[in-house]
Amino acid sequence: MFDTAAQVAGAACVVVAASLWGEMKARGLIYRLRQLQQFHQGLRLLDTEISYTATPLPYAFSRIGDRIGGPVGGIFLQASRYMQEGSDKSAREAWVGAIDDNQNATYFTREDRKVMEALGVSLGLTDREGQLQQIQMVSGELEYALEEARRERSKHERMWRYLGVLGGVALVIFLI
Amino acid sequence: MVKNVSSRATEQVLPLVAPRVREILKRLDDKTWGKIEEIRLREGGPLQLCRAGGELMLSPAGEPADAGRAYRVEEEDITLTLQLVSKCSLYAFEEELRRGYLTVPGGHRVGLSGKAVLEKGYIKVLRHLSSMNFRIAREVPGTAEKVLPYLRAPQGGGIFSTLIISPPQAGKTTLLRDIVRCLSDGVPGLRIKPRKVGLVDERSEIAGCFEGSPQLQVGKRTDVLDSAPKGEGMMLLLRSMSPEVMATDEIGREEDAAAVEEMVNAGVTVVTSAHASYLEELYHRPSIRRLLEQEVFPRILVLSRSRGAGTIEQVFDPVSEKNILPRLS
Repeated sequence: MFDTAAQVAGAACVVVAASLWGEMKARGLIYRLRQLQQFHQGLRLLDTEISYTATPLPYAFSRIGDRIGGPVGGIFLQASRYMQEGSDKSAREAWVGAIDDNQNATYFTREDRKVMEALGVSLGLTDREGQLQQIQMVSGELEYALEEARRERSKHERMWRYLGVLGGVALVIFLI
Repeated sequence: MVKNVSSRATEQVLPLVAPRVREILKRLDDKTWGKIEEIRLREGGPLQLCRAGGELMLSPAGEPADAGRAYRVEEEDITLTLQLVSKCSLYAFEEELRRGYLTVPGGHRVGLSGKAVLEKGYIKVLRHLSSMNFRIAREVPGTAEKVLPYLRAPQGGGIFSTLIISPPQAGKTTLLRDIVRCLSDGVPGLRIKPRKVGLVDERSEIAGCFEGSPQLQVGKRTDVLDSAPKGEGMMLLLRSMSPEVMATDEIGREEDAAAVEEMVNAGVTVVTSAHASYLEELYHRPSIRRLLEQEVFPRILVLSRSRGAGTIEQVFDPVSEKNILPRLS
């Protein structure tokens, strides 16, 4: 079947690369779920910061960012920096800008990002009650996104892994 | 001196105004800035400034203009200004939203108006804010020096309890603040020794507190109780801080008068103010009338705007029923 050692090595490379690609796809699903969960945790913390201590957003966001860490924490930290004096950004611009800045580090889908951006709609513009309602609403939509991410993961995680390995093998057979 | 005061106010206020409006205001020269008392933003309305000599409307190029050609304030300007003033967190200012204004660093006040949300017949919070008014706080150190000699008791070096009256915007609060500063720091040249002063600042106008610390000069020995109701606040400070002088502004309610009586009975000098254009007007207000009949205030200062804000018309002595201020030629 294989003529030379070089061919063996080449075939192995193709299979490994394809498996890694599948693994990456599978990890993407896991990371998306994890990051959505982190965002959900961020919302809960924000709810607490607003309802119990009415902490101003720049401080609340930086505290939440430190607590969560990772790329999602990075979004909160970046938004907090944007809201500090001198940047002239509204809370909504700061939040959406921070999500965009961290796009490459996160695994959110376009729909996920829309849910997240919805938090910005009345951010910092209403009284406490209005803010909590807004957080509740985003939280509700996020539940759907989380559910979908969980389903997606259980359905497709293994699929992507098999697809990677099998695809690599198929490619090797095809090339020979 | 005046330039320093006005440029400081500029530095403190401009970063809080929406960028488009800020660019227009930046074109004003220092002299104009020095006289500005209010900056008014109304959704869909012209950009309006109020100053000692009247109002001033500005075109998009920063030139004086009539209402038709003035810069029109848009909803976005109001929204962004609100975000800048509240650090993107209006919800952190619920108490202020209920009262209708908030104080910013430098002691300047931002008045708000919009739709009131009621709870049990009282204003719970303001929503859909559509009007904002920046009131520039200006300290004028030295205004009290003209009147201080009249407040000193001839014997014993004490200070007379004093009531300041004037129509609105004639400099009551400015004078009160400076009297408080002088009594607290002492003025050796006028033989006034330093005293412990308690200041109840219900509307944050005298000391201009931002997050509890005074932004305006009210003296080194002054304890400020910010945002507290006057009557209750005076009683609290009397117990907690044992002041020699108690200061507050705009007394008028029954409980304010009762607290003032309580202070005087406790041997505390009271320096305060009330809305009234003439002395006679005071007698129409039952609570203040009672204080006057009890001769609680040996000195009444009457202010007007006749020669600019802070003109002292009379230093009235109710006992002799005479104006003891020498007539100016």
